[in-house]
Amino acid sequence: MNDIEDRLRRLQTTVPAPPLPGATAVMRRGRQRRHRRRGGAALAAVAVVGTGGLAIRVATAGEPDRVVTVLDPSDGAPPSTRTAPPPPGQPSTTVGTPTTSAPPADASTSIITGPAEEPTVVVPDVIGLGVDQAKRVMEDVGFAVMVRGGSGSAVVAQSPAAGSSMPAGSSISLETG
Amino acid sequence: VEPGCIDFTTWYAEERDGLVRSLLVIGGDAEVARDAVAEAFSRAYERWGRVSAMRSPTGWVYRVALHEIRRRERRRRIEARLLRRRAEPPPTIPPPEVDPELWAAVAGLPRREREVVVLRYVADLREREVGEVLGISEGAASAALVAARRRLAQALEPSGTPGSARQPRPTTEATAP
Repeated sequence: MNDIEDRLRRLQTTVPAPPLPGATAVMRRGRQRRHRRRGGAALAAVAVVGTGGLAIRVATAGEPDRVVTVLDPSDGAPPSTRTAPPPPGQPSTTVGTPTTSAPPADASTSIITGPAEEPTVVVPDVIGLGVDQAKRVMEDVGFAVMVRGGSGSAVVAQSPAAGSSMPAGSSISLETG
Repeated sequence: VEPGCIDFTTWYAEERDGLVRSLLVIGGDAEVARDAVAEAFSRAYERWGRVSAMRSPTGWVYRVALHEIRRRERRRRIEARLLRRRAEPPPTIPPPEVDPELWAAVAGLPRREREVVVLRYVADLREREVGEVLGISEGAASAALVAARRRLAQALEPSGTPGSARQPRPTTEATAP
């Protein structure tokens, strides 16, 4: 019997794992699903850039702007400008200006450019929001949320602070009071 | 890892291979396994705030992935029926490094027993977790595990008699006349 258990356990190392997409691709797909589920409301403003290509720029106090490439211009998308009202509590978003960086060939949605290979996201400011709303805002941009603290329903502190860049999927801790 | 505090990228890196390997042994099809794993993890990221705060995010992603391969297998059977073809049996050719006798014995188990055995020994989950993943009680998981081990012991040759592996073996002890 133990012999069988050992042979079964050996499959953990002998069965080759089929190749899987990287974390970035999986996270991109997860974000797309989330946006689809919420009717795409998370995209706040979209503008035509330069020779084509759409970008939005998320402005957060004290942090250089980050450009989000939304559509690959090589798709032949007609130049158009769409604007949607930002959801409540969303960080302010401004219309982007031309950038020098060309979007990657397979960019279809929401590739957030960051310093590393891994996409990073700017932490929004949620202090003062209700805890549920604050969680929604954080989850919409791709963070996990940990809530701790008092009996109040409003967020009084957050860590890391608004404006820091964190890899998507990181945990943000919120304190209520 | 403290619940609610895990980083998605790290978690994905730790769990992905174990999950895809388990699904490969259960379903026998690398492509289905790979697609189901990518789908399950992207769903986890879609609602990462909630999933990361669960007692067992890993149990959650296994449950979703198993559901996903069942769905894909069902769809393939339906398509085959519509095309008036026999459903292709899942490819059960073992990868070259794997104990072929054991692979065939596991492939010959009833589905539920195969799932239980793979989750216990290949995914290395505890019996309670196996039950949670499959939506059955811990007692039912243990019982299925006992049945599966007994069946595997019957299918695999007794140690020390090389060469008899390819011959059908009686299920009960042969009695001398």
